[in-house]
Amino acid sequence: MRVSTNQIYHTFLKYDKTRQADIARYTNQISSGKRILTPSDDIVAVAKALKAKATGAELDNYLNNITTVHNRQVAAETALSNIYETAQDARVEIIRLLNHGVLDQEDAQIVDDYLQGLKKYIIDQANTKVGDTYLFGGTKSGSAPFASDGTYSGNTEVQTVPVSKGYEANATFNGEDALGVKNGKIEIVEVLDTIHDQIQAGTLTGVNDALLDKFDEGMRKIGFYRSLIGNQMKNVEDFKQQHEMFKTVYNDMVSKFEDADIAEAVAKLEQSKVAYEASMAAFNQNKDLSLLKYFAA
Amino acid sequence: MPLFNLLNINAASLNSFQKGIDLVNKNINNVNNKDYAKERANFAELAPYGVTLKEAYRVFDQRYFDRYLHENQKFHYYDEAASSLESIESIFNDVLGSGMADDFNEYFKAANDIVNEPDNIAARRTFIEKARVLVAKFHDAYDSIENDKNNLQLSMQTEAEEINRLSKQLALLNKKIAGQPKNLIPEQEKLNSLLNERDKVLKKLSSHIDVKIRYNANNTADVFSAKGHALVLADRSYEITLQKAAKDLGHGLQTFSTQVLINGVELTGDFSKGSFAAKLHTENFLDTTLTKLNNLVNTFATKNNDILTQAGSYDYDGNSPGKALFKASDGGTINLSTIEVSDIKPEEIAAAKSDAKSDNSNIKELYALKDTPMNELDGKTFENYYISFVADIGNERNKFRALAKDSEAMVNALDDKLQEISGVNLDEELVNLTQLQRSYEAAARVISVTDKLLETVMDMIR
Repeated sequence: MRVSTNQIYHTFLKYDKTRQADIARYTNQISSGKRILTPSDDIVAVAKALKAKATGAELDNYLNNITTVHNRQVAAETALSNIYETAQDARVEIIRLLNHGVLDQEDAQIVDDYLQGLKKYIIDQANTKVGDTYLFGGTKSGSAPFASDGTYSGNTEVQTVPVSKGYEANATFNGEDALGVKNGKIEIVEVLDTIHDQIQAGTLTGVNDALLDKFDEGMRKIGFYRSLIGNQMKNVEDFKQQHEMFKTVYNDMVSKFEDADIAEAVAKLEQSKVAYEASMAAFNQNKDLSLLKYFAA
Repeated sequence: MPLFNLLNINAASLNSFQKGIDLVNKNINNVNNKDYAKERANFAELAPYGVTLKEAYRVFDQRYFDRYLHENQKFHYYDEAASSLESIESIFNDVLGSGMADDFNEYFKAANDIVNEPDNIAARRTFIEKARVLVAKFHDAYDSIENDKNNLQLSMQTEAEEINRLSKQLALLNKKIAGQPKNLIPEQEKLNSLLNERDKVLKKLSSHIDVKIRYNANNTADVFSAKGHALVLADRSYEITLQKAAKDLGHGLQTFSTQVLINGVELTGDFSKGSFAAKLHTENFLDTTLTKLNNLVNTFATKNNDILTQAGSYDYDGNSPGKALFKASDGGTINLSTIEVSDIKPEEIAAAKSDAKSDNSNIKELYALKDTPMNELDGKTFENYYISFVADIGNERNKFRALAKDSEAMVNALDDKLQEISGVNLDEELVNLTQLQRSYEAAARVISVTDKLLETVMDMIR
């Protein structure tokens, strides 16, 4: 093969360009920390990484929702527990009132005052707020759902929030179910009001077992709803753990698709540098090979 | 033979060797001129005893040259297409932070925050802000692509001028070549230089545009381009001209695209080689990308608006139906150029399907758009449609990058081959120089001996 003098320079330039491009590429990978510098470097990986990121973002949304839901569930459960415990205290007093023979009107008045205090507390708890949101008003969360007499002005729709694909948890609660509302009024409050009326009328005999049964029925409903929230809390907690685990998996996936293996990039950079130096050394040695040197003298 | 004749013969030889040395000189001087084909001195016997330089032979292989032109057109097409696509790719480089995937995610995250707390005014405000960011991204992408297109069109104009200049130059060279006598040495030398010049122009032309060359018996070359339309015929050249034509990209979005004419005939779609054709192809690809993006923007805005304004939707203050989030700046169809966020207050976003403050059923429907495949988007979700068109850009660039790499290797190999045949090798020339120097010295020596002989003869009669 014949080699023209120009070819020596041309060949050097050709390979020099390739080596420099290699060096630039690995340097970019190392300094950006990314394996993929443009989508065309690895289209499949980019598409997968974008999908994984979107799924990660969705999990973030769920986790965000879970935080809200959890706070509200805790607040709602606490309120219902307080109401239930207060109702238990009230029940003890109601049983005392059933022993008509032992109590005189004055004692009954003291019990009534106490019961009315408890009623106020129960309604107060039923109007529990998180931020500006009343929890037990259904979706009508902008105003207090229970009036001071225990009547319900909320609705029966509830705000639910997705916490996983296909599962939504309550962010507000239907006050009617939660507080045991019957005929538009909290049942246990209704009983307390009846007792109040009987005592004020001096007809203690009107406080009878039927009232106690009604009161128990109201309490049962509250207790039932409290356990419902407890169950939801458990579910939401499970989802949280699951989402957090998957999020780690997806983050790892994105990193695997996008991020540079620094050790590998450094090794390849070194390799390219050696090749570049070798090419320069070869050129340096060859460029002076010419008969011209011998003619000069 | 008379002695004086001997002097004549050797004087002619000296002259021939000197011309030979001139050729070597020319070769040496053009050692780094890539477009130069070396010349060889062909000596012939001059009867009865002499030698003469018969030919300055141009060492050249037409076959490889033609293959080179063929590959060169392809290489410049692929290479230019790959590098032009790079700038579009950088607009949608989500890995390094440009692109819109994150902004879509952020928008739906903000919608989810309203799902979470429909009565939270700050969440509603954030949602509107995220919509603004997304719209700004749409506009950025639109501006970048249109900007790219403008630059491309400018550079096509420049390139068309360069092609026309080269065609004219070639026509002029053809004229000179046709009129150039080629029998005698100085004229032959000139012809060789003209041929070198001609081939250089052909190489350049082939890097810009489709060319097919027809070589004529008188050494002139005719050039034909797309669909066989002539660029150069003997000493006449035909101009490439560009014009702009309006193009509809759907949903009321218009753009201007280049049309190419040779000698007044429109041939836009018929160019397939050279960097000029690559730019045409890229412009077309940019239009396709704009069309897809425009479709995405229109569908996105329309679907979101449809839900926010549907019958039975309620805003925070209990008004029904709610207000649209997106609108067209000109009051017409929402597209890539006209989209903007409407003048909407946070309270006016219809999150509910009743007048209750915590009702999130409408905004939940909007959030569900994220995972809804749409007929308008070829049965894909927003995200998948976006990913698929980003992948299309990447695939297109990858294809051209791979093809460019292949054909670059081919062009380089052919270039090496041409250099191997026609390039100057200094060592070779120095050896030739020495050889000719010795021949010259020998001829001179004969003259000097003849001179001595003549002197002897002169002395005899003195």
